[in-house]
Amino acid sequence: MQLGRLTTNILGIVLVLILWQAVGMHLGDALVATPVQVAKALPETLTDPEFWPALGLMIGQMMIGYLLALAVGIPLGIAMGRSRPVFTVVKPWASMFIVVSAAALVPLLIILMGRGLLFRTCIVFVATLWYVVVSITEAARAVSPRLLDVAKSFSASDFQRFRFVILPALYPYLLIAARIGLIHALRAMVTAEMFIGAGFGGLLNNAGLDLSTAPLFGLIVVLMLVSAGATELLRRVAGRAAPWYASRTGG
Amino acid sequence: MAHLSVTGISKTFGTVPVLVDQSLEVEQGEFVALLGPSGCGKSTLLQIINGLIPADSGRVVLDGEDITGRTGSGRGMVFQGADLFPWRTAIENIAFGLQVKGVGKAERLERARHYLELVGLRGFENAWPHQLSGGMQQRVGIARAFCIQPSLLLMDEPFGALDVQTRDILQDELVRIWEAEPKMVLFVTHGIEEALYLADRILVFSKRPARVLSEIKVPFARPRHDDMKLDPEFLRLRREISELLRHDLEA
Repeated sequence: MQLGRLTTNILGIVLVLILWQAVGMHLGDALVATPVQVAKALPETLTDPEFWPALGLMIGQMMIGYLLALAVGIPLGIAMGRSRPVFTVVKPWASMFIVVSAAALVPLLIILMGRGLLFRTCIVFVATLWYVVVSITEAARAVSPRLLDVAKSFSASDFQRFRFVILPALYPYLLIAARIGLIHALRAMVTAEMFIGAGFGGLLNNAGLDLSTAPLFGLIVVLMLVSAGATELLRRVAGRAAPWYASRTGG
Repeated sequence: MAHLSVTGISKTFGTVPVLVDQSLEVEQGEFVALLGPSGCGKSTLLQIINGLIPADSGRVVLDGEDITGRTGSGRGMVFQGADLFPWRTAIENIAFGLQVKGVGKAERLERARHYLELVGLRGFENAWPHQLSGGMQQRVGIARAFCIQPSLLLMDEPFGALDVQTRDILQDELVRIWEAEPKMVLFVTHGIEEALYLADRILVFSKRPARVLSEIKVPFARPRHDDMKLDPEFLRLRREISELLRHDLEA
């Protein structure tokens, strides 16, 4: 079963690579570099003295805004899910912010706070926060009222019901929210860096000006690997931390 | 002396009267079944005694203490669907009530282990609820209620969701455990045979609003055996209760 899934995965990737190769050979590497050309250009990209510091800077600075968004978003989401008044007040803002793309906010934030760390942290925070809030809110609303009744039957106090029922019920969803948030944080960070031509986004900008698109595709592939790697890591953490959830969903 | 005294309980949901001026008494070590048609209000009465639902009027006094509208103190509840916490292993579920009371980890796990073995689940300490069958889950539910050593055990159609064979086995198990640790039991059911097989006394309730149609002392000696279900007296009582209920429903 596990092996079969892996085979299907690999088959899917190979098919796309073949399609990509065909399109690339047809259009030429000025438009779409082929996977083979990308693979050849990749070592050069990875050994570029600017590459690793740019990647490190992007991830490092992104983490600040991302962790802040989790620190604010998780409690806010729980409060929204468990308290009618908080939900009524915050929900309209959440619905509005979540549909605004990070790119739309970039010019405004640059005017407000320049192009430094504050700006980058802020754009990541704003772009990530509401996805975290909305996922946690839904999870908190769905906590089983019957299990809360069970706890109450055993004379659990409000705090004990929070600690013994609501928090553990939310646990797997916290890690799901962290995963969703991470994807949005990374996207916002790349968008912001491309606007100001710094870090990894700056490299993407420069690569876009090259004659061949091979280095550009190389950077995009790196970005995909970083994102997929990080979410996979969080998924594994979730599987370890909430085995009852993972073994029930077969994850 | 353990004693439960429920007097003058009334309850209306919206404009629908569910209970009108209901009273009942339970003596030490007595097993009382509340028998009635589905939705008649007997479960509501049980939840009022449990303290999860507030009564409009009336008093619940357990062992001389007025516990009207409060959960906990002296009562252990077994829920219809077991309602175990999915993020706790079998033994942690059983220990839940003790944890709420602030009993230290080593002691509460030791006491939980005793009840886990009493309900025949040795070896399943660390199983997650979803890995257990419905019958095994309800064994954990029973152990969880016994583990806080309540003077009154409340059971809300605990075997209603199980298949017939499992139900028969669990009825015998319940009697065996209860004989090992006798306590007052209020057992809500709509099964006439189940009530006759388990209880010392049966309160037969009318359709909504629930009132006691008849009080039946079950004349069979303990320990009881499966063959008593073929006893002429058993069959006579079964027919009598059945006709009583049918007559009430058609009235």
